[in-house]
Amino acid sequence: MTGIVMFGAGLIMLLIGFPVAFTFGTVAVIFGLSFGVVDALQNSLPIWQTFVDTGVDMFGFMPFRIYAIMQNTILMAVPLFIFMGIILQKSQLAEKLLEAMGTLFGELRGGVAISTVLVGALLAASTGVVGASVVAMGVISLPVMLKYNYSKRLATGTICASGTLGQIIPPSIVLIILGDVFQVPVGDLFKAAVIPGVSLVGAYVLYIIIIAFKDKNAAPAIPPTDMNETKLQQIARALKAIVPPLSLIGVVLGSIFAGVATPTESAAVGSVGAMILAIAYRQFSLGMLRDSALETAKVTAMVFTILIGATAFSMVFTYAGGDTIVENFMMSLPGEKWGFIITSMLAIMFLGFFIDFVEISYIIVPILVPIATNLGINPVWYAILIAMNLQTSFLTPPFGFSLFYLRGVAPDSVRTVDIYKGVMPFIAIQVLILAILVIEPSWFGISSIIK
Amino acid sequence: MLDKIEMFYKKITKAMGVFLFIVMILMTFNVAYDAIARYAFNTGSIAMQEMEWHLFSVLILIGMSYALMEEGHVRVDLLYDNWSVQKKAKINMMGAVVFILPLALLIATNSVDFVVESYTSHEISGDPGGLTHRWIIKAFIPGSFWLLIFMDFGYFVQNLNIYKKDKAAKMDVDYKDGEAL
Repeated sequence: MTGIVMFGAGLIMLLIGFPVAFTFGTVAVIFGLSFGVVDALQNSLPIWQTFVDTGVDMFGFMPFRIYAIMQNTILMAVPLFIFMGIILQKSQLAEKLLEAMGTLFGELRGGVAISTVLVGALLAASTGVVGASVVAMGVISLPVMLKYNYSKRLATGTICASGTLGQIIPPSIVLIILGDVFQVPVGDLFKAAVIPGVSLVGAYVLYIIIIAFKDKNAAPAIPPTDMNETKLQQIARALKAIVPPLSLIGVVLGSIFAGVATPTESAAVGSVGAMILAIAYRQFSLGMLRDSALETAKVTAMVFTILIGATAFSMVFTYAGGDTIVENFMMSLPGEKWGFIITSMLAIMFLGFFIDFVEISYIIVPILVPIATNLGINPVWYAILIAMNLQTSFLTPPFGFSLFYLRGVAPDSVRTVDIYKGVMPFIAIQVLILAILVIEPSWFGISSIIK
Repeated sequence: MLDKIEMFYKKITKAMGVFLFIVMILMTFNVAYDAIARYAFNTGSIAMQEMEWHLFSVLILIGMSYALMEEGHVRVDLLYDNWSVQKKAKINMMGAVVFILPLALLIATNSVDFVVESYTSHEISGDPGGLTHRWIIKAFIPGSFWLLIFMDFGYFVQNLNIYKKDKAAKMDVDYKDGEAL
């Protein structure tokens, strides 16, 4: 029971708004130290001595845990992929892609929206930075769509949803972290995420096409007179924008999928490749490299401080028997593995409204992993389900990150309600694909049981 | 005085930024070089491969304090976002004392033996050709948390200054409003 109280206390303390990593670590300290005192009182032992022996010494494990994190070469892929993404982002990759694709597909009905989804998918595979993708698309595609009288809801929904694709399309940071938590090869997760990711892209495009044809005013075609390039010039420009980053990502992912290199190695080579691309695009400078490195350092430190805080939290949580309570509850659900999967998915979706994917991956998921193993659930499948679920949490109002970023760059003529209503159909698509992935994983090339 | 302390910490943070920039670049080229050397030329040194995670460790451990000063740590901003500048500063001051200090002290003090043991036993890499003096990288664990405690003080002062300045500015406005009436 103490474990559950501890978890509740943690969630409430998070609302204060102090950085999550330290808050969770402190919850562990408070509960860990009080166990020392409680232990002394219950067994009438000398208070100070027991406090030190039980409470303080509990944290004697911390250096060992931290040392294990330091030596984890899989997690080293996190800063390297972030670095690669930020360098590409700072080389104006998104801008180039959006402009090129927009002119290419603009004449079609719904064309700008479709090109936004496709660019979103390309950015997801190369940069994977949700905020940056949404901002770039909000600055470039949104004004175009609004100018040509696209429905505000369709325009904003498309941008928000496309921006989150980086969470599921490899190489994605969530998948690296989940690979570590589940103790499965990151390459396997990357491979397994390809078809679900592409299916999502396909579903988005299909939705836009249907809307564009059903409602003539929702996504009108851009009149060809507004384009001052020949078709051939447009195609050449689009290819020039797409081919270099696509080949880079092809090499990076290809080497992982072929088993030639580990994700960490590919990410490092990819970062160097991104620098070379930036030089080729004439966007490279020492200042740009420094900004990219520091942004990477900040995000990396944020992720790993949460991991350290979560480690302390899980240690005390397990000591308090919290994991057993969750396990007993999950195992007692009807429908065996289905009861567990549905409940855990709903819980993650609910928590996703409030907390970030890093916290969920490091605090909630480790509790679920042993239960999933007990039930014979394929860890790769389950990890992909979680990743897709977390991706959805970027979209859900009122706290979805994607919505915040778009709100930040959208003109005042776009109301917040438009954005909220705009993402609804895309959330529905997400949930639908997630449901299919739960029921028929074989359609996505994944088996639901452990081999 | 408080402003001077804040300036001092700003300088340290900036220096940390330069340091982390170098570490990040070294790590990237280190890993990339090892990968290419191994697959293309079938060579490679264990020491270089161990250097990878040494640099990675420095990046995350020192980055922890850097991210604190640069507001890089993620918050649940559900309520926080809507609070006034003064209230935010108060929460950060409270957090610096209640949420960071005890946790950091507990880890910092509990990690010292871990390093001493490595030092006295002359621990080196288990692999032939690996790095020696393992205690140095292990010392980064308590070291980084002592650094966090040190920077935490700067973070407190920084927020105290924000609080005081905002309060002074508000009082100024109130005073002028009073005069106008």
